[in-house]
Amino acid sequence: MARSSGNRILLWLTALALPFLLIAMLELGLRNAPGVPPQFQLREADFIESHVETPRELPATGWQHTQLPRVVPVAGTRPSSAWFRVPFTVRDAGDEPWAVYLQRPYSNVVLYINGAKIGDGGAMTRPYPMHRAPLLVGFPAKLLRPGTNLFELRSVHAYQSPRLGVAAIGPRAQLLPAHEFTRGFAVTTKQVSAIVLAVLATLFGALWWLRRQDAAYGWFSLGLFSWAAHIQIMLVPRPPFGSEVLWQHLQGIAIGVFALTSALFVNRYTGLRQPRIERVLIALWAAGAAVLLVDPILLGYRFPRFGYLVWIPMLTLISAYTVFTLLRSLARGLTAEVAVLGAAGWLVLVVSVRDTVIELDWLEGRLFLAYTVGFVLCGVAAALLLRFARAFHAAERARDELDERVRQKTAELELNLVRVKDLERERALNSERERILQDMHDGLGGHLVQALAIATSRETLKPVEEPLRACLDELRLMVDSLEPVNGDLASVLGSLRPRISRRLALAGVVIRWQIDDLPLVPDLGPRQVLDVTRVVQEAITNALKHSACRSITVRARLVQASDGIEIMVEDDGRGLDAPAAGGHGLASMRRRAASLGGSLEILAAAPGTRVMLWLPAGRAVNKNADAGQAPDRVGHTAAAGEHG
Amino acid sequence: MDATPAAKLNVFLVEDDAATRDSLRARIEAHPRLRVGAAHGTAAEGIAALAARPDVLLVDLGLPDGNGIDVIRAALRRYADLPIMVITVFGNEKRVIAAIQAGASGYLLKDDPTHELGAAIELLMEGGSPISPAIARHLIRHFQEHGDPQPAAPRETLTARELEVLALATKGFSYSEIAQLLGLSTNTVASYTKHIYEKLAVGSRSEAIYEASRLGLLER
Repeated sequence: MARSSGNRILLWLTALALPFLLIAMLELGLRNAPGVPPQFQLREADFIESHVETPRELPATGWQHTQLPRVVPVAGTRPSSAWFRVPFTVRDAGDEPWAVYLQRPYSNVVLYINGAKIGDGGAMTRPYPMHRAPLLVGFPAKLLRPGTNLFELRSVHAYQSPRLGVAAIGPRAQLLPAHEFTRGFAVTTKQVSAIVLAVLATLFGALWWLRRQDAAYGWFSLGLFSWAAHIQIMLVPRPPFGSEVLWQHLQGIAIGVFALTSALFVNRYTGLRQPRIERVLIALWAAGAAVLLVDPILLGYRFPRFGYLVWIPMLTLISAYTVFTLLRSLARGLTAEVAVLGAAGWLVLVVSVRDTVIELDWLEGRLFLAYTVGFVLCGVAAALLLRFARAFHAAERARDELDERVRQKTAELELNLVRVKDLERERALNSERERILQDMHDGLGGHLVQALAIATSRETLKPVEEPLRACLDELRLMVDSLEPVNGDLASVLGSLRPRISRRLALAGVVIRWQIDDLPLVPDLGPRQVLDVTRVVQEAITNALKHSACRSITVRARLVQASDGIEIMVEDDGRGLDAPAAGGHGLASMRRRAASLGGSLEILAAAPGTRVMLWLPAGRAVNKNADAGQAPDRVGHTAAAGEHG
Repeated sequence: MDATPAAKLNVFLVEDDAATRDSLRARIEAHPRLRVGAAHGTAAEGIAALAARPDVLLVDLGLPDGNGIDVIRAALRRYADLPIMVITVFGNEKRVIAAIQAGASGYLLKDDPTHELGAAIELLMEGGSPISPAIARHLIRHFQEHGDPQPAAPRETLTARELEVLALATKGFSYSEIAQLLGLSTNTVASYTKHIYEKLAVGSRSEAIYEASRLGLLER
């Protein structure tokens, strides 16, 4: 717990420190970058605010001395214009070409060496170019004279103040490394960034086109496009149309699009959509953009510009809302994706603020925002990869779960089907049993009783009485065996007793009835019931017929040792030597015992005979004795009844 | 005929088969304490004959003009405490149990010899009910499981002792053996079985009493 919260704090600190680490890294890298040789850098200058076209027209007085770099605060009309004058000393110019290096002119410039124009940043006509990239203006060494020379520069800006930033004069070859590095830094990197952003924007646009339901990707694509557009606009010095102000505002609008689409993207990506707030944001953006577009027409070059007074608070509001959404998402639990996105957003925010400060000339430095593109893209790519991976996992899990559920349902269905079949079979069996019982009762049974009644009422029919009674007993045995017993073997024996008690009473034989509690025997069907009953009944019949006994003991008990049920019929008669004991009846008893999966033993008791039927407790009875289908059991029973 | 006919129990017999009816009548009359007051072959005749109160009613269930259970119901409407026995071939079929639920207190086998038949009737008159293993098994199932044919009727439960008696009965033990095994008197066991029968038939009995009161028979 403590460790995990510790890890979390560390993670937070890393994410928060990331932008500063990046800035520090870039600054460190720049320290070793090829710079302007110090002996060629211009340190101080005289300047004057003036709109004259050539140095010859400049007034002699009114100049001010300043350290460089310098922004000339101009309260007057726009475009602003100022002249800088820098004397510099040359001992030996040599023959190689020289150059003036301006690291970031920002405004448009015209350059003079000793009164001769050596070059410019473009024609001094509207719309004025605005140079964010370095300028290296070469001139032949012969323009220089030993001793003091004069460098003059006119700086013109359409709507801001004129300035002279980092500047150097020296042999071209010695200034070239710094120029190339800075150019690469300020231009090439941004161009590459813009191209990468545009390509990615196209890819995400395609992704959105293919999956319209994921509007997040559409907004993200638009955001990337707007960032690419923003970079591209900054890279073009002279506006190809409209005024410089409008051009600048287009760049602002592009940033606004990025801010807006970021908010919409984050809302959708985190699943925390707020459609009403989104509509308000879009309306705000549209209104602000309209102001930015109309502002240059209405207000011309005046500065500070009204449009930005609206635009900057609005961008702040939208960005704050995006941060708010990310925080809401965090409150619901920090997912890796949101963390990565949040870190990327934080990086852009910090670097943007720093770049803005530099753009406003509050600090001297280079612009880094373009370098965050790689990090932001890595972050977004990581977030998307995480999301894809999660989607794949989720899909796989869902598939597995579905498979599992289908398997379960199939198993349930199969089980239900088996149950339904069992129930149907059971019901069919029951109704069949009912029908047979009804038929026997109303038909055969009734007729037998009737015949018996007639036989007993007439002395001449007396010999028929006993066979008829035997028939009725036999019928009862079969009817009893059809009764469902639910595995209760004790009650099977119980049902047998009333049927034998009359014959025993007539023979004057006492019965000792000892039935223990017996475990339930599963699937004790009619066939098994009939087999058990017949074996016991046969044993009793044999004892009555042959043993001349006075008592018979019937005992049933569970034998733990052999895991079976033992049913014993014991008489106190003559014993085993009786000739009929090994006859047909005995073989039939053994066969039935075997069919029950049990065994039959006939032992000499003292005195008398003991018949022991052993049955396996548990499922063995069913397994060994009744492999057939349940409806057949009725047939088996009937057949067994006929044989018996 | 005996010298003391008033002491003999008046048995009503409803059995459709003439030969069986005669045989039963002969066997009942052979018993010293029983006489047959009326013997009929149809439900209608039997119900009509119930105008006079018998001591015991013996009813066959399959009658040509209706069900023996109708006779039982009619008899109970008139005499709520009349001992009724069902005459049957097997003694364990569904109809016997239905008859017990309708209010019959026991059953007789159609081919029972005189002494068994007489013993069963005497047992009934003394307040006991004969209980075969098959019927005991059915009763246990009935009281333990669902499937009450009359869900609206109050459902009685058996006491532990009553269940013990039934469990022993399913194993084929006789009254006296059960009494001995449980350390009770035979009479106590008999009264247990009677209670069990009453609990099984409680719906029908109370229904019969309600119907009787509705018909104004009890007010008279």
